[in-house]
Amino acid sequence: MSDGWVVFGYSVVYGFMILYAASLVMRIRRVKRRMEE
Amino acid sequence: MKQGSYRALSVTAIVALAVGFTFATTVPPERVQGEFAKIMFVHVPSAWLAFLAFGVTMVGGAIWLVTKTPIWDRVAAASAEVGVFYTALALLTGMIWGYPVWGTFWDWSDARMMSTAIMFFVYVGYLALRRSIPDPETRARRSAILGIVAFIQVPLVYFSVTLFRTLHQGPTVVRPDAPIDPEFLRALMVNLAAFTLVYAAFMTWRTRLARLEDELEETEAIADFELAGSGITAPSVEEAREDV
Repeated sequence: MSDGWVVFGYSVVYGFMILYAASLVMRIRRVKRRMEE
Repeated sequence: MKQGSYRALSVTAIVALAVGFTFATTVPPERVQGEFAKIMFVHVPSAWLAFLAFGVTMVGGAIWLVTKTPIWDRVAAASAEVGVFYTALALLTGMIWGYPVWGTFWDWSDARMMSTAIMFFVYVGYLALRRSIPDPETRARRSAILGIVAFIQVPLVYFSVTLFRTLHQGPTVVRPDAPIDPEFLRALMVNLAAFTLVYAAFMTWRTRLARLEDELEETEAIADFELAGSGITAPSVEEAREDV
């Protein structure tokens, strides 16, 4: 149980880091597109 | 900052995270908590980075109030958002660790948990405040003041475990009477360095986004002004006479 629980904890951390990084990239792209319009 | 530098910093942060993960997973299980203690290697750096981020928000706001240079407002805003992100991580990992070790995800009477949750919501409020004010100077001034005042929570959260009786454990790393095992300390410090690099990478991307948003706001303001101006015609006496 303990290994799975720790894996879950690390997945939450790295998963949210990936999501936040992706959201930053998408937001930058959206603003750039609006500037070009 | 050049595009290549953003990428280089991001790649370095990812490599550092991988090294941190290796260190964290290769330490032996803790004597009492077993494998669960390994969650500390991501929980503690998240909380410390949140403190650092809110410190940067305070300093950025204070410098903006003195110099009125837009970059400091952007730095303050970017750091607040990244700080909220790290606070959320600290809360989530704390809950994930708390359930198997304490038997509960959350304790409403615990000073550390409650003060961290309040800090999280205050900085979410800071971000909401920024979105609610259209004028850039008013927005920067009000958020700078809030950023400075809100920072008082950081020492309160940090010392909550010594000021109050809490379920949350007291300071572990800075404790000369019961020093942390060197192997655990090494893994913690490597992960702290990795999380700091991730913070730096997030900050560069988020500050860049803030600069682009400011430029867009400026462009749209000029376009709106021109549109309003074209709707107003010069007064003509001749046309007025024709109407009569």
